[in-house]
Amino acid sequence: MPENTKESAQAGTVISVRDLRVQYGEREILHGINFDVEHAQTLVILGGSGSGKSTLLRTLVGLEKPSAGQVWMKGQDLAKTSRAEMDEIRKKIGMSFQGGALFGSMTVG
Amino acid sequence: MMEFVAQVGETVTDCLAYVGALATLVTRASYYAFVAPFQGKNSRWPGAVSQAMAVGVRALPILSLITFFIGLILALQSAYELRKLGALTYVASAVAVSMSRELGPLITAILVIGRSGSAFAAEIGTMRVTEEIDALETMAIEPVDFLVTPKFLAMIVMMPCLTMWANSMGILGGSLFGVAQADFTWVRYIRSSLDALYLRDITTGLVKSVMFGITITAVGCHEGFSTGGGAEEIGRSTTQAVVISIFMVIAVDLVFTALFFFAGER
Repeated sequence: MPENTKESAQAGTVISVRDLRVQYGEREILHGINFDVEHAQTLVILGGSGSGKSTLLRTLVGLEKPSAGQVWMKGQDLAKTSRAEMDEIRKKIGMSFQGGALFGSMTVG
Repeated sequence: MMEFVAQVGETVTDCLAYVGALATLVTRASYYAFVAPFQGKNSRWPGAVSQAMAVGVRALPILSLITFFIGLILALQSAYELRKLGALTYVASAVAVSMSRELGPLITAILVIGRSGSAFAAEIGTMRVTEEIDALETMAIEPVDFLVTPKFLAMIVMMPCLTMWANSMGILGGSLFGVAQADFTWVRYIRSSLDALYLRDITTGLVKSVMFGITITAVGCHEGFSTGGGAEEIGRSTTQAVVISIFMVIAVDLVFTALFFFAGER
């Protein structure tokens, strides 16, 4: 774990992103993103349409794979987690999707 | 010339990659169906029951009608040649063997493709477009386990059941001609049909029906997962699911028919 990220984790950092790059084919969407999110901190990401907000969020929960860079969630490098470890991380994450994704095709029970 | 060869090569590799993707999906669904429950994960049999109702039970009326007519058509076409030989008594055996070995499983598969294969692609494709599959993954629910495995289990149970029903209805349809035109009684026609059948005629048909069910599930679900963005893509993937399923079912039919033919020679 990089030193500055290790120090961040010790300081109560929940999410650390270092030089994150995500590509769709030839087109790079995220160009080296860096930020930390501390425990109990609220971070708002604003951007124009197509700027990569959803791509960033999807990468943080493991729905997209970065082409470069690192994402640390509670001290764990997402690139090195197994499927089972990723599932454990996801159980602690809540995500609201743009279109709702409310499982309208399913029934209760 | 080189461009043509390159195009052929690209098409072949794409087809092989597609079959590989289907095989991967079937392997994963099989794991979640038959291995994962013994490792502490949820069993998908309860979900499979409701899928079986949709795939199997609700298909019975239309399947009965279609295979009854197929049996009647088969009897008429067989009689067309057999009467020249004075062998109308063989109509019963011709219909029974043809239905059991080939037409029962195949017609059932084509009907199920239209009803259920397209529905699988549309359901999963819609979930893909509305990000419901992403939501499942975010909640640590494996989409193949949750969405595909119940359908997979329902198909491998219901396809043989539907095929047996189709065979019966086909024989019944043929009996209508037999009684009306070939001097059979109902009892004698049914008895002639059953006497003509060997166990291998029925089992080969049932084995093929299971393979057809697996193929239809794999193609329908794969096309659903591959859906791109937008309503137009859902239509495209649903159409693809039907077309590719029909082709794959015919290909699987060819493979297994040849397999049983050469195995039967020994």
